[in-house]
Formats: sequence, C-alpha cells, structure tokens
Amino acid sequence: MLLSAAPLHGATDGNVADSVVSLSQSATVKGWIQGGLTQRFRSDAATGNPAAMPSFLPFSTTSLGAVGQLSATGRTQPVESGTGEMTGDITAASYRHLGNATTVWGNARFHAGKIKDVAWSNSADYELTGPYVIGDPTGGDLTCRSYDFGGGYAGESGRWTWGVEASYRAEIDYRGRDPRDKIIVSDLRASLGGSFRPATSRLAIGLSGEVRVYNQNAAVEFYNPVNDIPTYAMTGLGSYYPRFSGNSGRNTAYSGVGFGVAADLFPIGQAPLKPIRARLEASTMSLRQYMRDFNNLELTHTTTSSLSGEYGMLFGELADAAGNVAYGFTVSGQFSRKTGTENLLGTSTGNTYPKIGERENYHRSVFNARVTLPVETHPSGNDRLGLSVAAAFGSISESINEPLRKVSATHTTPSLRGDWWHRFHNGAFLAIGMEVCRRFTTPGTVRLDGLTADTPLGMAVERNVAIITSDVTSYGVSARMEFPLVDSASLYVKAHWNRDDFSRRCGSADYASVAVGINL
Amino acid sequence: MKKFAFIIASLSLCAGFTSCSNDEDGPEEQKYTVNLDSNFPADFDSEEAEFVNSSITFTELNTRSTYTFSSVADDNNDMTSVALPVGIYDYAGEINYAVTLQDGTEKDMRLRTIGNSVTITGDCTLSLDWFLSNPSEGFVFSEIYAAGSPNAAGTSGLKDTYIRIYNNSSETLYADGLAICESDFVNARANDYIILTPENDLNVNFTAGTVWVIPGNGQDVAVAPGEYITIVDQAIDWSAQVAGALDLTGADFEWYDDHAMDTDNPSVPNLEKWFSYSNTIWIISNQCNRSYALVRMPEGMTAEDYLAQYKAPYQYIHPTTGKEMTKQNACRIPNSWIIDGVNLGNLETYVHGALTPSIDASFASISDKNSDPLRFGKVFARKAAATTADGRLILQDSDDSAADFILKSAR
Repeated sequence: MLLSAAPLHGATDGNVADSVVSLSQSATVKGWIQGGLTQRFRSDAATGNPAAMPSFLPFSTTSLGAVGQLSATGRTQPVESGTGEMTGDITAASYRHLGNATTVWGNARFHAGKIKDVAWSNSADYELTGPYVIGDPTGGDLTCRSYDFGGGYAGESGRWTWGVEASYRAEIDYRGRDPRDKIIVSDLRASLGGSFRPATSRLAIGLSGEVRVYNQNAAVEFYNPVNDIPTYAMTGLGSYYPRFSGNSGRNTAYSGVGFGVAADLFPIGQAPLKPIRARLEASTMSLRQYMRDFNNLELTHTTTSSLSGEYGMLFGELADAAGNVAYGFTVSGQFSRKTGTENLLGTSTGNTYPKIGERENYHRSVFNARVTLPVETHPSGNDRLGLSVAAAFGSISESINEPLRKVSATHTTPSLRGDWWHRFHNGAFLAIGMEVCRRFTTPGTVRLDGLTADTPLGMAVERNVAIITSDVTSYGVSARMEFPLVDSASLYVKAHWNRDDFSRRCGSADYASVAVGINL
Repeated sequence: MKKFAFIIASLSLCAGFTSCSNDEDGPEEQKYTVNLDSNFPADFDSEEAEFVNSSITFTELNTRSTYTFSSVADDNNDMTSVALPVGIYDYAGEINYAVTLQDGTEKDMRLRTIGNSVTITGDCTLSLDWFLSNPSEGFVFSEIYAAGSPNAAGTSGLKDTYIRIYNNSSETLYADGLAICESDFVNARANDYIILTPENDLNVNFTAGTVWVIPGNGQDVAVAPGEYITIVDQAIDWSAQVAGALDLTGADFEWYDDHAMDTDNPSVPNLEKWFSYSNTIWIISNQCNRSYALVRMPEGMTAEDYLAQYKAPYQYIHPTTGKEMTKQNACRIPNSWIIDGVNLGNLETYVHGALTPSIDASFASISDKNSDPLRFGKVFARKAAATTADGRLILQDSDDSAADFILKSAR
C-alpha cells in the first residue's frame, strides 16, 4: 500500500477458475503455496493497489493468531525508540473470493505491551512526528495499546478491475509515573485503485491513489509537586524551541494529511511464465504541531515527500515440482525527504501569538537502493530450497541550520538468506530459514555546533549519531511448523530470533518472537 | 579629543538582503537592515566624551539566538545599521566612554539602552533611547530572600523571608525614611498587561503594590559603611519548626500586618505600613517574579500625604481575555525617588520587569523553570565588586541584576 500498512496476506493469482479449484485445497497446502518464491513474487506485486488484490492469492484463506514479541535493544536504537519492548498481538485476517468477480478482505489486530525506557519524546510515532516532540531526559517505560481494523473490496469486469481499501488505527500510550504521558492516536487511511489488462497480455497496468488523515494528542503531567524534570519543545539534533519549552507548555497535538499516487504493473493468473512486476509511487505527508497550552498555537510543521520504485522478474520453471529451478531479480529504490519549519511568533495579544515569520530549519533525507537475486529449487516434490543474495546501498543525512548541526552516513549492506522447506506425508510442513547481513558504514559529516556533550541532551544526540555511523552485523534464524487439524484447518507455530551487533560501542540488540495460530 | 559618535561595527560580512550561501557553514538566513536612530539623554555632552568601546546585543525571543555588534575606539567604521533576520528581539547596548573632570582626573562613564519585544519583519528604523548608567554610592539591596526555606515536605516556602539593605558608600548613612516597595506588576508572560494609564508607564513611575517605610526622624537608623540592616517578614526562630530554616529573631525590622495571620515579635521594631494591596497580610512573592524598589521618601512626607497624591487606580488590557480592566488598589512611586531596584523572575516566563531599564536593565533569575520547587532556600545576593583596604566590601551595582546578583543557599 502507498502509505498504509501492508495487509496480512500477500498477492493473489487473478485467474478465477484457478481460484475456484484452489478453494478445495487443504490449509497446509495453502500455507506451502504461499511460502514459495513464485507465489510470494505474485503476492508482493499485488499489495499497494486494491484493484490488484484479486491476484493476491489463488484461493481464499482465513487466519487467527497470537504473537508475542520480546526485544532488548540497549543503545542500538535512538533514545526516542526506547531500549526494548515486550508486546503481544491478537490478529484475525481473512481473504475471500466471492464468486467470479468479487474479492473481499479484512483484518483486525489488538496490540498491547510495553516499550522500555523511551526518553526525549513524549509523542507516539516518532518517525512521523519527529523531530518536533516534547522531550524530557527522564522518560520511562511506556505502556501501549492499539486497535487496528482494515478491509477492502475489489471487483472485476472483463479486463478491468477496481478496488477500495480502508484501515484505521486507534492507539493509546501512557506512563504511570512522572513524566506521565498520555498519548492518543487516530490514523485513518483509504485507497482507491483501478487496473486494465490489455488484450492477450497477462500483465495488468494499475493506478491507485491514497489519502491518510492523522491526529495525535500528547499530554504530559507531573504528579510530584517537587518535580524537577525539565521539558523541552524539541526541534531536532538536540536543539529546542526555548520560548515554548518548560512547565508552561507540555501538551502538544498533531494533525496531518497525506496523499499518494502509484502506477504499477502486475501479473495476472498463473501465466505469464516469466512474471514481471513494476511499481512507481510518490507520496507526501504534511503534519502540523500545536501547543495546547498556548491557545492551540501552531508551532511547527513538517512535510515528508517520498518517491519509490521497484522492478522485478522471475525466470525458470516456476511450477512447484521436483527438479524445477526458479530464479529472478528485483531492483528497488526509495528516496524520502522531510523538511521541518518552525514558526516565529510575535508578542502575544490576549493569549494569541501572531506569526511574524518562519524558518525552514530541519532537513532529513534517506535514500535506499536494493538488488535481490532469489533462487529456488525443488530437490523433490516435498522439499524446497531457497537462496537469496542481496546488496543494498543507502544514505542518510539529517541537519539543522541554526545552530548548525549535521549528521550523514552512507551504508552498503550485502546479505544472504537461505530457506529450507520440507513437507511431511500427512501434509504438515517445516520451514527453517537463516539470514546474515553486514552493514558497512562510511560516516559523512558529523558536526554538532553548540552541543554540550556531557549533558543528558548531548549524550542522547551522540548516542543517536553513533547508531547512524555504526557498522552492523545481523544474523538470525526462523522456524515455522504447520500441522493439519482437519482438512480445512491447520495449526501453525512460528519462532524467530535475530541479533544485531553494532560497532562504536552501541552494543547489541536481540529480537525474538513466537506466534501461534490457525489457518482456515 | 576624538569627537564622540555612536560607532558600531557589524560582525556580519553579509548585510541586508544579500544571501551568501556557504556550504561549509550552512545556508545563511535572509536578513533585513535595521537602521539605528540614537537618542541621547539631555545631560550627556558628546563633545566632552571620549569614546572607549560600544556593543549592542540582540536576542531573538523565539530561538534565543543572539547577534552582537561591537566596536572599539580605533575603528574607522561609522555604520549606524545592523542586519537581523525576522524575529522578535530584546536588545541591550552600552557605550563606554571617559570624561575629564575639572581636576584633570578621568572618570569612566557608561550609556546604556534597553529594549523589549521589538518585531523585525523587514527593513526598518529602530529608535534607541540611551540613558546614563553609573553605580550608586549609597544604599542598595544586598540580599533578597523571597522564596523562603522549604517546608518539611519541600513543596512550599516558609515565611522566613527577608530583605537586606547595605550601605555601599564610605560614609554613615541613615535608613529611616527609606521605603521598601514591591511591584504591583508580576514579571511574567501571563501577566504582561498593556498599561493604558500614562502615569503608570514604568518609564515614568513605579507601580507599587506595597509601601513599607522604616520609621524614624531621619537620624534614628544609622548604618555604618559596609554594614547592613535586615528586614524580615516574621522575626521568629523558624529553625525550631523546620530543620534548616532560619532564625530571624535578631532582625533589625519586621513588616507586621496587624492581623491574626501575622506574628509580631515585640523585640523587633515594625516598619510603617503606608500601603498594601492585601486586606490581610503581605507575603513577599515566593514565586520570585516581582520587582522591588528601595525608595527615599521626600523629607517630611507622611503616609496620608503620600496616599493622597500617589494612590490611584489604573487601566490595563488583560493579556488573556483582551478586555480592558481597572486596578483600583495601587500606588505610584516617581522613578526619581528610587535609589535602587531589582527585577526578579524566571527564564521561562519573564518578559520584562516592572522597573524602568535605567534602574534595572535586566532581571535576576531564580530558575530556568516556572514554579520550580528547587527555588526554596535560595537567596539573591549581590556580588562583591571589590574590597577596600580596611576590609569593607564594595558591592557591584551596574543597574543590571543579571550581572549584579547571584543565587546562593540561605542556610
């Protein structure tokens, strides 16, 4: 999807006749098919445009599950993201072909848990709201709870398809000791798309558009009458807005609207033998920050513009049969630029602050390009081996003009992933995967004028700089087991662990998750 | 003698509209030309003044960015404009010069200018009103303990507060007839009234909420050079109530409201209460966000005479509601009666003081936060500028509280 989270399933094969036949397949067979390279390629091609969702999967499926996630990230994450989390999800998702020309899908998730040691940000969704947050050096564990709902509809008529999708997230984060955060998020996304399949082609051309409406209220209270925790209206790289920092202004709100358009090319049905997918997407998101304690004064605003593209092809014998070898490539690139503007306010009159000017003081640019070369072979009808080699190049640059501070770095990341799938006689299957990658970082400019290193704020900035300029070695393993319960239902268990080792004395991070659920 | 002229030299290499982009230093902000139009006091004789140096600093209130322009005597620049980006500024400038007295000795002199909340959104002309600023050689506030010692819970301040008046001169002076006045205005953003009554303009009169006078016939309260008198709220032993609080039983004077809520120590003389806004008792503001004036009342003036001439209501616009209001209960102190004054405040909410800048060009800050509980137990103390040969301290008095005062523990 352009701006929204991807649905819980992959793409579909748009051949309706095939879909009707596939409905009779057992749940474990569906799981086996979804994990194959060819189906994953087709599923990934269909996400992002609701009109492409009939091609997402060749069959209907429903999933209910629970996930537990545990991480200990230490100093490997920015201070605003905390030092780890312990969270759990309960999820439900369904993808149904209703007749020959209608596809519907829906998903729901309840997410709850705790994020540890969040500091210097009393707002949620820091990737979106940052750098303009209310920050304090103390912080603490943040309890989070969110409810996500989404669904869509796609229709077909001849060579045309159309689709609509919407999702909504309601989130509340809070902390039970000073500084007592209470953050409420409302995040609505809706998209509309259409596609056309030229005559004799098994590729469809799609266009889609998306809109996002975002609101957040972030309040901070102190119950301790002797509180000496300072709060600041942060403006990036350790700078803050002095005039509106302090005890008088702790409560902030955000309101924003985003738009996106995309054009894509995706395969339909089991053919072509060499499926192609392509996508070009542009989006923009504007977010305004308001100070609730100053008569809803608009203090800052950000604009994030993004451009991304992807092209991929598959070759070889794509059928799931012994001796077949499939291979391909995917090339993708993404560029985003966030600019932050601070409003300059004049003398207040009757609690109203006139805007006398503004300064565009904050810039953040991120570029990523990646090439992936997957290969899949079938030593037997019940075994599947996958190997994927990838190389990525990226750069990041973050700066403020006054005081002059800039941090930049480039990254080169080669990676290698291997998967082995084995199917047992009763239909159950086991999948084991391993991945390793190494990020080589070349630090660029690091300039932090006027930042005092031995203050809590200085140390927080230097920690974030160390993360950006570190080399990282990542490795992990995953395992999945799925058992048939009855012909139409299966039980799955998944486990995943990976570790990131950072240089520059950032330490290491461990991530682990366990999931259990039922596929229907 | 070099003819005096107000000389400043811009430190910026790029003035006016020109934007000089320097990748190494980041993009330069667009700046506007601010022409400086100086108005010197009537008793300033530029022909007799020998320029030494000058500087003017503009502080942008939103970002706290500072822009300083300065020059020294051998500069040949004669620019009367500066370049500033868009913003709202406080500014403070000084010109140091020397005059030759009749006996041939040279005396250092200073002119100062202060301004608050000046909005720059384009090319403009700024009028600078300069005033003579020279240290006083008489009574000064040496300490102001307004916050009080922390109570047992640490959540509020006790009433073990005091004001100390110091003889900064080399002669014995008499303190009777001096008045201690607390401002009616609060030096905070939420109380930044727009005053409509001309007589309450701080550049004309000090608007007082309390007037307490040291009693005597003019020769009763002698203070030797380098000595001080301590005036307290309640002259009791507070340390008996809360450990670490002050024992004020040895105070020289106390302000006593004849009310059940106040405590009188019969061993300590009381000030004369000429005026108070409070119908019950006066407690010195423990938020440390008001101004205090040390006033020499005209000889022979009585409380009745004073109130008849100087007690009057004033009109103002409320900063929050925007409505025109009337304050009935306030008094005025002519600025010419004030021998010393101190603005108090905190960095978070301070906008400007209740005293004219020629009396206090800035303010002494209790904290960088508003309502900071850590302020209890801290006293404003004037710095020592020098020590005479006989060990007498000469306290610093540049009419700039930010420079003249420090915070220290009252214990």
